[in-house]
Amino acid sequence: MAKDILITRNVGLNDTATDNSTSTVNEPSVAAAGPAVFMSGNWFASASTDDCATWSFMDPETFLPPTGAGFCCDQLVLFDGARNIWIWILQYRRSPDGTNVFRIAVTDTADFPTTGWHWWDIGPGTLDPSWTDVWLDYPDAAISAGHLYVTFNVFRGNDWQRSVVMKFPLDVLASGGNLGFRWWGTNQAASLRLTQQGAPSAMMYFASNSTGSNSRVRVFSWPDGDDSIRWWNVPVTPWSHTISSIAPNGRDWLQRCDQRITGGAIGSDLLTFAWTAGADANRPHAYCRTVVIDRFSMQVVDNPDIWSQTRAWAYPAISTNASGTLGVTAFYGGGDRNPGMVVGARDTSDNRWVLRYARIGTDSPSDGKWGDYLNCRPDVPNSNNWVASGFTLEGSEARTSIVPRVVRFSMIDTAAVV
Amino acid sequence: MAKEEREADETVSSSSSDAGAPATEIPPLAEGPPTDKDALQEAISVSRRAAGPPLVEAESAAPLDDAQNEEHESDPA
Repeated sequence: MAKDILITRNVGLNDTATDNSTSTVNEPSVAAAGPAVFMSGNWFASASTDDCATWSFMDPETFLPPTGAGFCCDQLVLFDGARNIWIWILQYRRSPDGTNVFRIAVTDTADFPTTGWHWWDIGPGTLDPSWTDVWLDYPDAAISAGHLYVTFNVFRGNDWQRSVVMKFPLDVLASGGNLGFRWWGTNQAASLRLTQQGAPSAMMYFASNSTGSNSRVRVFSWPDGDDSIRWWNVPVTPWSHTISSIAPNGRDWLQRCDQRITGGAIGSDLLTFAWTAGADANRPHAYCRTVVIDRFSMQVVDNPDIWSQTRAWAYPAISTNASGTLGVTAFYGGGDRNPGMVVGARDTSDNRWVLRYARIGTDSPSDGKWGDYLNCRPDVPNSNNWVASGFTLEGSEARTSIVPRVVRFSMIDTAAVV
Repeated sequence: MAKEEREADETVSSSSSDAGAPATEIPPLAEGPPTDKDALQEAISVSRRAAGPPLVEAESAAPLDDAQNEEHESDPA
């Protein structure tokens, strides 16, 4: 039976919801549970308790007490349905000594009060006391049955040093106890991307395609109950790192985009990773390279790229739902079309992506600044639905014309459409 | 029958750290000096910080396997 995408909520955040503190490098993140929706981006956080009808701005610079050199930029939000906790990850600025911290803040109160939060601040020196002049950037986070996993790149100045992955017990995050955690780092693989799980399991997989080769993905596994990490090099079809797409304003809206993995998911024993790749002989525009890997054989079993003959696709974020179906959000644009936000899902019965515009922008960035990541997560408690974050430029090319967007959606049989 | 599992290329051990007890005291909202968001936007580098080992291009580009990858374009509705 043919499938379609049913969008049940599609809301742009206005200037009041964001305090007009928006950037074209918006990096929006979202989590949802029933009528409660929590969204973050550069440089705002905002919460709704009535399914996006109204929003309350939460200034990430002042809502929680300052730390380090002050709030910087990257944020992520998550909801752990097993413990009913909201998790807010904030990255702070580099101090003059070249280091920084990130914060994990937690509340179990769905109206996002100004009290009732607890948090921990973690810096490179928390992991290794000798890391006194390095800083953390570009976080990713995902939830397993028992843990919150967080990854960062580690830089000395502007020079990448290594990637780190941390594993925090969710029970302690919920209770607010002493937060012991495990971590591991590598200088052989950058920008580690975790797998979003529609049905959280006791295993986390993550991957990097930045390992010095454009013909492999390195996949890692870390069980909840084990201190050991295993990894496999998985050969994949080579892809181009030369990414660009000219927007209607004549500017390259993907000038800042690179090849790192931006989407990871697991469901039905299949791992899926997605990233932006440059045009090649088979794909005339930048596209979302997508590889599906059998978690037992660690071999590629499908390459369901998202691509177009006429425009570019970029910045894919993916997640399975509780049934293991893959949901996606990404940007689509270039040529005659300003960047727009698209949501969709993989219809494996028809071997195709079912995709719907959430919003088409009216403008494109004037300076090549776009990205760097989107979110697609399981919706709660509608476990076969997804919630996605994105953004568009509407009305001008100015950063203040960015409209962050929350989309709640599912894949349905077309017979169900009335 | 259980699926045969590929042996890992390598297994490594993680380390332990401690972030201590959480902070919980939230003072009244501090009204610090407003950050100049226009300056922040301007300061964002167009090129992202390169991350990872230097790229070594693949020696041979294998063609896409059409048997595994039916060519459905993905334009949104």
